[in-house]
Amino acid sequence: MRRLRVLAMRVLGLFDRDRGEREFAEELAGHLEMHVEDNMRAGMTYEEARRAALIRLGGIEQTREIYRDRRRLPLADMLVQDVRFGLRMMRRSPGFTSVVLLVVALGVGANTVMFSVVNTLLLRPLPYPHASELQLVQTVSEDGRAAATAPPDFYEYRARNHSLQSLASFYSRPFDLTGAEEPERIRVLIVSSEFLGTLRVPPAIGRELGPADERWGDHRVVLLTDAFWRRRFGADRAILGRPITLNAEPYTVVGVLPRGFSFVGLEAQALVPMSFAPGDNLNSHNNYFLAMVGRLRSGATAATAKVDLNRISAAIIAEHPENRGTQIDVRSLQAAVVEGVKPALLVLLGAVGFVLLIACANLANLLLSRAAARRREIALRIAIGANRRRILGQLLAESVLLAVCGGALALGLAWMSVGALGSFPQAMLPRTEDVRIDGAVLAYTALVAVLTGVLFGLVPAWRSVDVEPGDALKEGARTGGDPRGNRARATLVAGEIALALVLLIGAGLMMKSLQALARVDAGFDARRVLTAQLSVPRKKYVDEALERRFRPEAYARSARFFGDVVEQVRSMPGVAAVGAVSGLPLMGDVWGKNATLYDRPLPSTVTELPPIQYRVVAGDYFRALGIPLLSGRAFTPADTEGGAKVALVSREMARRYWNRADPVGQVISVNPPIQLVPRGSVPPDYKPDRLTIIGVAGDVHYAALSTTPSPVVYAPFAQGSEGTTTMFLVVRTEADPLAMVPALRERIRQVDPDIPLSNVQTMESRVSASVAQPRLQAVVLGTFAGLALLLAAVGIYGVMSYAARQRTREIGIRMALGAGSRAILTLLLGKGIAMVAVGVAAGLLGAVALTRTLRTLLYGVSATDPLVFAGITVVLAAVALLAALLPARRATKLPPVLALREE
Amino acid sequence: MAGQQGVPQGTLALMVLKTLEAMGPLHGYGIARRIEQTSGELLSINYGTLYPALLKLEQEGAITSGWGVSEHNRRAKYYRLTRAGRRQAGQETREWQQTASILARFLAPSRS
Repeated sequence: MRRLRVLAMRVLGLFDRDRGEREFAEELAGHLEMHVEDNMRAGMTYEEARRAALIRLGGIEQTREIYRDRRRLPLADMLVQDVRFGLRMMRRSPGFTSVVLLVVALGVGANTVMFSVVNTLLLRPLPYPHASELQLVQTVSEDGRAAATAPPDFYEYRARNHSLQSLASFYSRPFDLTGAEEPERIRVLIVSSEFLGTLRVPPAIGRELGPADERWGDHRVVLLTDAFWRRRFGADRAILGRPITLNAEPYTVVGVLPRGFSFVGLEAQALVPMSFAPGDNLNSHNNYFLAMVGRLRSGATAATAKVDLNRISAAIIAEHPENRGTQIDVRSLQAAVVEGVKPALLVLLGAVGFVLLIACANLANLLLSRAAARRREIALRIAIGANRRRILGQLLAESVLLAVCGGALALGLAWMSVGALGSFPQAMLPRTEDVRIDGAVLAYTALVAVLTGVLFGLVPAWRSVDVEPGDALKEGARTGGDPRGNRARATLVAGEIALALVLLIGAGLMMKSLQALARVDAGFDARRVLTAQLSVPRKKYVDEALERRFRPEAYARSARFFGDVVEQVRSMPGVAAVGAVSGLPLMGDVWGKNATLYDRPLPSTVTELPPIQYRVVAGDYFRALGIPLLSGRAFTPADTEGGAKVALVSREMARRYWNRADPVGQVISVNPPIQLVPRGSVPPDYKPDRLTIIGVAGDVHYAALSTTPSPVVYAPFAQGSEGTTTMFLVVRTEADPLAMVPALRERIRQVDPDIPLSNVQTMESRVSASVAQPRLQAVVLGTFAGLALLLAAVGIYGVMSYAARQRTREIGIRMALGAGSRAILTLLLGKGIAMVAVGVAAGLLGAVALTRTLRTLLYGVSATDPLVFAGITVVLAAVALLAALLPARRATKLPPVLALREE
Repeated sequence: MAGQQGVPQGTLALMVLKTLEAMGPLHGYGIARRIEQTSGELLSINYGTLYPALLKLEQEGAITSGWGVSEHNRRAKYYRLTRAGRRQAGQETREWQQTASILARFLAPSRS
């Protein structure tokens, strides 16, 4: 209690400093006078009396000092003093101050931006209440590859699990919005009724979906996203309860989602309930297309939920053998969302930390040079009794103050850059719209700034107070001869070189990997090719009654539509070739099937049939994309629905299953024979088409440039569309492809005015977008590495010119005695070369250890690629030596007379 | 002034408290003189150390201070015991007496 009171009094004492001092002075003066009077009364003269009184008081200054320390908090006083002192020093050398502030602001700012991204993606929970309970529930194949889930299975998992509060499924489809205004294609998330409840995101207005909305017939209700509601309906609240036309059917708007709602980067404009007509083929074990998200019950974990759901999965497999070889995987939704970018983010966070370290080393060097200039001042202060610890604290406070000011600037920079991040496409970096500067980022920045200040201030401050006052003062005008300071500087620069080399090698590997990706033969010619998406509404273009009986005639109308589109476009001037395909290259392995090869015995289950990618094509797809035909012929208009069933296969397919022999004439099927299909799931007259291979096409990278091409089976749309209503138009043009777009739209309108052309892009931009992420990583890492190189070069230059200046007199003497400039150069450069050599050696070791973390980001290049290591080392050494050479040369150019007269 | 000695560690505060208890409000110089007189001129205070001690007691709440007019008609800072100070004086007196009596047993000539 008493201590607390004392502390409070002392803190208060900090504030009325002047009054306290004044009063104490008055009290002491009164004391002295009384004492003097007493002494004079005892018979002393005034001088004697005063002298005796002063002696008994024991030194006014010391008394004052003790009193002052007692009255207030000396530590806080010191801090205030140090900060004042620091501010004074900053004002006194504005050039130095602005350089330090700039370097710190850039260095810390880059760290703040990287951290705010990492914070959002890896540390901060997803923007839903209790987000840690949310789990991605996935069907995976035996080798761990993610697959989708069939609706009947989802219903089982939803009804029978004990570990989840709720389980929702979702998939996304484009819908056509028609009505009063321009028809528009929107992306719609089709969800089971508990979707929003699982996320715990209630709609901003209107109601959530309920189980009743899943009933076929009652399912035509829709929730709009806030952005879409504002754009298309002018934020009109009266839209609630009104119908809008989606895919030519009236859907009642029942709600609007809250502003800013997003779901793991799926950019949808609306939500509709998942519902299937009785007997719908989609709702069967023939179709796997659902993804699932669940919320754990309290007490359950991902592991227990996995056990629980796999129990159900095993029961399903017992009844439906086509599920064999799959199981359920449960993992945190957050981890699933960011897993693709996590390694790159961590690498970049590390890299930007390296840049800051290099910047710190440079600043430390700068301070060291300044410390050398202040050696006499400090020696003097120590000589007249200043406490070394106190001076050390003061110097540190100075550098920390600088760093904190720089950190404040850094926050400003970061704030601006974070705003710009929001414009990044989701494919490059997920959740960028959520990136912001929050408490964690502020705390991180503050911590990094203070650490930076300590880091670049500690060594110089330590060096400064480590002086023998006598020696330093004796040195007089000679400022040279601080060998330990020089060694500290050289060590710092070697460290910079090492760090820069690690970064440069990392960036070099990424660049080489990017180059390797660019050199990959994608299997097609992207130049002057326009692509666009076309989807027809099932209602109008698919005969669902025939489809249920597996009759190809069900798709006659859509086949005619795409045929007409191809014909219309072919006749346009400036078009060299035109075709259409169900999935473009680099869009992913979007349509997988299992092929039956009739020239060999049938396996016992469907999953043992060779997995292939299936694409249906129309028109001159191969010619339009420039995919070479290696043998046989391409499809012709004669390959109609009624004609002999034909297929093309890719070279990889021929290589894998016919051992490179020409497979033309072989017979295959892309649907399993009836023996392998569970009884009852197909009509008794089910008979998969037997397709005769008529040609072999070159390999095309459908999934990504970085993966090996999968085997592909192509079928003509007229024969094998299987209900596909979305095709991608591929138009090879003679001139600028984008100039064709308006005319193209017009032609499509002539075929069917209700069908919009969407997703219009040149093939080249698709290729470029497919490597956007590795390119971004390489560019960012490259920028950091370039910055590191620049900083390291500046560091070497600074140290070398400082060393040269210190030795000016020595050089003058040597030259006066006849040393040639070459000898001087060698003398000066020797140190620089040693510095660079040590740095490079350390950097190479570091790079070998650290580039391993890049392995998952690299394509076609090993993490210790000797060419990159050697090349980058040469470049860095050259830059470093150049930075060392310039000041050394300048020193040799100085006339000896001037050099001698120096100082 | 042979035979004079400094103030033993930790006793100055108690001396101040006891002086103020006996004399009522007093200024710093008066306290110092009074302590010397009370000790029979055996103690010699370094007057400079008295003021930090007074400040400490004031911060602890044992005494308060205020400006007044001295016997020589001069402005002087007067210190006065608070109730807490009185309590503290009593308690510390008892503790010292106990310590002194214990020590006295050790120092008494042993009767073996």
